This record gives sequence, C-alpha cells and structure tokens, in this order.
Amino acid sequence: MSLEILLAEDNPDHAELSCFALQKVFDGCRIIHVSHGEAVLSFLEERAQGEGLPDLLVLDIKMPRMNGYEVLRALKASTDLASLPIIMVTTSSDEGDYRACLRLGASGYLVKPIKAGSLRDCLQALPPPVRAAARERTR
Amino acid sequence: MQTRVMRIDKTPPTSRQPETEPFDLHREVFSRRWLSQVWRPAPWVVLAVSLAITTFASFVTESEVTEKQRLRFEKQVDHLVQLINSRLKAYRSLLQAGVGFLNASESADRAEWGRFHRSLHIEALYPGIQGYGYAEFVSPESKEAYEASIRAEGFDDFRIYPPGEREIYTAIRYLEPFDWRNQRAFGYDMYSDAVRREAMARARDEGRAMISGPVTLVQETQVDTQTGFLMYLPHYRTGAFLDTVAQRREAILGYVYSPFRMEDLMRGMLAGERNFVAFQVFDSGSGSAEPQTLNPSAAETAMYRSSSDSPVTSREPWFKGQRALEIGGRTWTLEVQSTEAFEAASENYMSLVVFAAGLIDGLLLFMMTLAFLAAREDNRQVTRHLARKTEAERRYRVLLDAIPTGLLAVRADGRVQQANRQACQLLGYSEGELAQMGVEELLPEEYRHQHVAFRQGFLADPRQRLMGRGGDLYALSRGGEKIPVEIGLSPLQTARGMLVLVTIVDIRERRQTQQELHQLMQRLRQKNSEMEQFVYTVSHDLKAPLVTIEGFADKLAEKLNDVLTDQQKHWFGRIQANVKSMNGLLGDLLELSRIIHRDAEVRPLDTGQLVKAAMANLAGAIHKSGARVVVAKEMPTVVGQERLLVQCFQNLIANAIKYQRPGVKPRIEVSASRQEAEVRVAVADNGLGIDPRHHERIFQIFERLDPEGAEGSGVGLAIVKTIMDKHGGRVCLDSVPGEGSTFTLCFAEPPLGGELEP
Repeated sequence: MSLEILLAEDNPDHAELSCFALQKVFDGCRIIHVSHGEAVLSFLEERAQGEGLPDLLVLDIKMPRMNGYEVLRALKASTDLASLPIIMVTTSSDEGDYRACLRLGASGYLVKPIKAGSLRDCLQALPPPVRAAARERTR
Repeated sequence: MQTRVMRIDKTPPTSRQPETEPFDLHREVFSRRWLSQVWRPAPWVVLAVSLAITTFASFVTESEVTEKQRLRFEKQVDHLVQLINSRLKAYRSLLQAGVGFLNASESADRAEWGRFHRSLHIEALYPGIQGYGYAEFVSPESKEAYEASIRAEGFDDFRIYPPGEREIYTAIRYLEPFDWRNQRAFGYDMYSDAVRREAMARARDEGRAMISGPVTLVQETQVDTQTGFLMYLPHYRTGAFLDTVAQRREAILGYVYSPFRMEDLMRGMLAGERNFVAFQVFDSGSGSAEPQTLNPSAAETAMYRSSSDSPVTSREPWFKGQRALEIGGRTWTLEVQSTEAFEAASENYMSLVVFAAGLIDGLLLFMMTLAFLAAREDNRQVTRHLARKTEAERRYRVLLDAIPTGLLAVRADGRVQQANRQACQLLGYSEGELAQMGVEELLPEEYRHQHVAFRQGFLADPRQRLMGRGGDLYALSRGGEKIPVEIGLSPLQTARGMLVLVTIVDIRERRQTQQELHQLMQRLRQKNSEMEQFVYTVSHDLKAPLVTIEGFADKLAEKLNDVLTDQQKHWFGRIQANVKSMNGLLGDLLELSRIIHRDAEVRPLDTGQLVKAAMANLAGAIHKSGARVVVAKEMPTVVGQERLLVQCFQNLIANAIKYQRPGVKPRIEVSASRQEAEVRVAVADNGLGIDPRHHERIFQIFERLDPEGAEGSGVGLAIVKTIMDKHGGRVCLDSVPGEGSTFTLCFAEPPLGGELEP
C-alpha cells in the first residue's frame, strides 16, 4: 500500500519541485495537490468523514485564503485531524518561523526547494508508517 | 519720599538689596542739623524782616493801647467833674430848701432851724459840708438891738465881729451843727471880708446861689487848716419884687449859706471812688471882672490838692488834663493827672506780648528757614540720588525688557506688581493693566481655582522651580487665546513680603515644532515599516522564482549529469552558485529586516554559551575550513536577545573563516574583558586583515571588500552592527592587514545586582 501525501502549495512550479523530492523519498507515493489553505481543510474534513486521512501533509506557509499557520492551528485544534503529521514548507528560512511551527505541532520545517536530503533529515519526527515508507538513500 | 524700584523700599538690613551706593534716607534727612545752613543770608534776612515787622506791630499796638487808656482817663476826669458839679448842685438845692423853710416859717427861731437842719440829714447824705447856716443883714442902726436879742437867747458873749464901724453888717445867726468849730463863726460878719462880700453881692444881685473864692474859714484853727469856700443863696423879703438888681438889693434879708472845708468836701465827695486820678482845684475867679488881686495867691495856690501826702508832681504821670468848671458864678480849674493806681489798673502788656510773640515768631521763622534750607539741600541730595536710582531703574528696565522671556513679579496675594515688555506682548495687556490684575486672570477659566491652592503651596515652600508637573500649561491672553507656555517660579523675599518672579516662555513654536517632529517621526516609522515590509515582500517574492530556478536547475543537473560535458557542467555550476548566492543575499536581507523589526525576549546570557551556539550553527564551515576556535574559559554575562547575539558571533566567526589568509589555517580566539563600564567580547582571527581605510565601510550594507569572493552577501557585518545597536552596544574593529582582525563587541555593563532591564 502506497503512502498518500497531501501537498498544499499555491506555486505550481514549487509544487512540481516538491513532488520530485517527495517521490524521490517516498517511492510510489500518491500525492494529492491543493493550492490554498481552505482547500486543505475541506479536503481533510471530507476525508475524515469517509475514506480516512492521508499519511502526511506538506504545507506551504505562504498561501492565499488561509496561510500555513492558520491551517496548522486549525488542524491541531480539531480532534479528528490533530494526529495528521505535517511538514511546514517555506520559501525563506527563519528561525522564528521554525520555532513557531514546531511549537504549534508541526513535525518538520523545510526550506524550498525541498531537497530529498533535507526531507530525509526530518523523517525521524514522522510516525513509523511514514518513516517506513521512505526509500533508503540511493547514494 | 518713596523709592519705587521694584517696590522694595525700606527693606530691613537683612534683605536689603545690594546697591552700588547705599543710601539711607532717614540718615540723610535727619542727621543733618538745620544749623548747617546758618551761613546762608536768607534766614538772617527773614529774621531781620520779621523783627522789623514785630517792632512796628508792637509800636502800633502801643499807640492804640495808649489811645484807649487816654479815653479811659478822660472818662475818669469827666466823672470827677460830674461828681463835683452834681454835689455842688445838691448843696445848692439844700440851700434853696433852707430859703423855702425861712419863707414858709412865720417865726423861724433857732430851734426850728436846728430841727429843719436835722431833718435834712445833710451830713449823712452829703458828707463834706461844714455847716448849714443863715446870715442876715444888720444895719448899723439896729446892730446894738440885734446883738442884744441874740444875747437874750442865752448867748451872753454874742457880738457881731470883727468889730468896727461899717456901712452894713451881716451876722451869722444860725449855723448848724452848732458845734465848737461852727460856734467860732457865730456872729461873724462875712460881709466884712472882701472875698465873701464879693460872692454875697453877686448872689444878692443875681438872685441865685453863688460861691465865694477860696477863703480860710473862721472855723479854722491852727490845726489842719483847710482852704474853704462858701456858697450863698440870697433870702429876700417875702412878697418883694425881684426883677431888677435894685429891687433885689432892696429886698435882701440875708443868706442861707454853707461853708465848705475843701478837703472835707472832697473826702466826702470822693468816698467810695477809686483814686485813679489825682487832681488840684484852682479857683480861676468869677465870671465878672473881679480883680485877681483879691486873693493873689488864689491863682497859684490850689484850693484843693488830692493825695497831699505824695505830691502829684513828684512823678511824671501818663496823662494830664485840665477842665474848667463853672460853679456858682466862679470858674474852678481842675488839673487832673493819672495816678499810679490808674496806671497799674490799665497797665497793658499787649505791645510787650506782641513784641515777644513777634520775636518768637521771628526766631521760629529763622529756624524754619534754616530747616527749610537744610531740607532743600537734603532734598537735592535725595533728588540726585533718585535720579541715580531712576537711571538704575531705567537700565534695569531695559534689561528686563531685553529678556526674551516674559517676566511677571507677583505678590503673595496674587496681584501682578510688574511685568516686562515680553510678558505684555505675550499676554496682550499693557503693564499698567497687568498691574491691576490678579495672576489668576491670566489663566484659562478651568485652571483658576486650582491655581489659588497651588499659589498657597508655593508660598509655603518657596523655591525655584518649574510650574506644573509636565502637564501642559496655558496662559490666557487678552484676546482669549490659550497660549501654551512654560512657567518658571522663583521666590524673591522683600520687606513687603514675598514676590514671586514668574518667567513665561511662549512654547507655541516649540509645540508646533514638536508636533511636526512627531508627525515626521510617525511618517518615518510608517515609511520604515513600509520599507521593511517591502524588503520582506520583495525578498520573499524574489525567492519564489529563485526557488523554482534552483529546483529545476538541480533537477536538470541531476538528470543531465551523464550527458553534459565538463564545460557544460561548469556552466550549470555557475547557475547554481549564483542562485545560492542570491538566496543567501535575500536571506540576509530578510534577516536584517527581521532584526530591526522584531523584538524577542531580553535576558542575561552567558557569552560563552552564545559563542558555542554560533559554532554549532557553523559546524560544517568550521570543519570544512579546518579552523580552530579558542574560547576563553571565563566568559561574561550580558543582557540581550539570545538569537540575535548568537547571530552576531556566528557572523563574526563565519567572517573570520571566510577571509582566511591563503595557506594559513584559520585560528579564531574569543576572549572577554571589562573596560570603561563595558563588557567587551573580542573575536580575533589571523586572516587577511582589513585596511584601516575600510574600517567604516565594512559595516555598511552590501559592502564587500572582495567582490570576487563567492561567499558572503555583504550584509553580515551590517547585521552585527545592527544587532549591537539594538543592544545599546557597539562593535569595533582593530586590524592589521596581513596579520588579522579583531572585532570587539562592546556591551554596556549590566547594572550591579543583576537586575534586568527590558
């Protein structure tokens, strides 16, 4: 059974690049792409009612409608969705942002473009099924 | 006299205002004796004139007084004449009564005459009369028989005398009182004496009472001899015609008469009178051409002389007078003069009083003139002094008005006493108007009430200070404008109580400037904020495409790794390196804007730990460069934002690695010291070093000394400087090119006791 990852990214280029890295680490994973914060919440809520949540959420911070922080807070506040592992993604690294994300319950914090290496670096904070799905470093 | 400078007059010595030339008004005026002016002519002229006037006045007074006294004397004389006249008239009436008695009585005998006489009470009513008698004509033929008839009455010795043959005789038949003195005259023939005869003839011829010239009465003895005279009233035969002299001579029977002793008469007459006058009575003869020779001495010898014991001529009397008195056909001349008694009674000191008063007045005037001159002299001095004072006041005034600050002198009761020009201009009142006003009137309505209490408070604790507690103060101008002001208060002790010097600074301009400045600051802050937002947005938005470039470049490089030639790979590498560089630059810009923008927790930090954190962040670079970082064992604690200070050290260490000398392994020493109330942490390297020319420049943003170097954004030291600025500290550079650089972070020493300040 392949890993299901929800990618929230408004920039299509960035989304494609993130897909490269995600597919590199999680071989054969299924990536569902949404392009704004509200879509994240509606998708997840719908899933929570039916077929179940994805395995991982990769969440861009700077997004229209609802930004990453707002989505993060909403998810962690929801009983159904709080357990979903989330990796926050940002264009420009900032220690303050990083700390804030971890404090709010994010499992990882990555600077774009996401590289396979940096993605693997934050695997440890992810739940075992996700970790298990990660392909060993090829090189 | 009052000095008006600041109204500080009569100040007690303790609070006396220092003057260049101390002036004691009291001393100046009163210590100078008026005698100091005695050399001047004016007082002496005044004295002479007043003495002259006094003398004249006393002379005039004397004359007037003398004139009054003369009148009084004349009255006395008139009174005397009146007295004599009326008395003699009274005697004449008595004689007429006697004639009437004789005419009425059929047989007037001696006893009846005596009774009649007694009934008159002459001696009691009219003292001074010697006797009251009747003498009758006796012809030579009947002389013997007459004498015999009298002797028959019991007067055995009676005879008419003096003896001798004469054409006609008269005999004194009755004479009351019939005492021893009068008895001497009993039977005396008065007609035998020329003086008497003359009077008797006149009386007979004219038919009325007549007085004789001075005689010595036959009653006189050797003792107390007085001049006398007689008064005769003719007694005619009853029923006879008496119209002519001849008829009267034919009808004459005798005379009712009275002898008078002059002194007795006068004594009786003057009894009860005050002896204000002394007088002599001279007989000047009858109105007829009777020769004076009858009694030659009569003209020279006084019939009567008052105060015989003290001769009237012995002293010079004040007044003398003479009166002629027509009496019984004779003229008596009265020579009257004032007596000592009169003079004593009318002694008048008026002129003396006038003179004395005038003299005193003159002396007083003299002294007053002296005093006036002295006072005028003093006055001149005072005037000169006042002129100096006025000059001083003028200068003081100019000074006051030259002060660019409004100035009011306010009394303890809140009244304005003085104001300078600036205050007048500011408040829109004249100084005169301000001097009528209470200081509260210069405040906006809403502050007046509390100001009264505030004023009391100041008086209770008077010391120089600014008014208000940082609150806005306003003065109310005449036009009702509320003018923002700054007010200073200074107490000024004076003898009249405390004055409060109030300085008023118009801060309208300042206020406006402050407002403009504030607005400018607001705009600046806004611009800054916008700028930071802009920087943030720009760097972030620039990063997004860069991420794409970087991502796809990496992807391409990965995919084409086997296809590309080395040359092509190098070109790819250049793209990736520049993307990385730009990433770093944008990252630093963001970082810088965040440092300025954001504040984190401030707390005490161990600098050793900070350096270690920085080293941990740089572990890769340190390892790669083979650099050795030595940190001193004892590192101080500073107060600040941990992340920023880690960033500081991180940037400095990174810099030291970045600018290492070729061929020399980087050695970085971190040490600390305390100097000049600063905690200093030095980061020293053995790198390229920096030319002193560039020491300022390197802390500016985007300044890089080696543009060729691949690494570094040129923002690193700017970030260090910004962080140190934010911590109230500074960063210094000490470097020798080719030997190395030492960057020193200087922190203000935290206060003792470790209390933290945000």
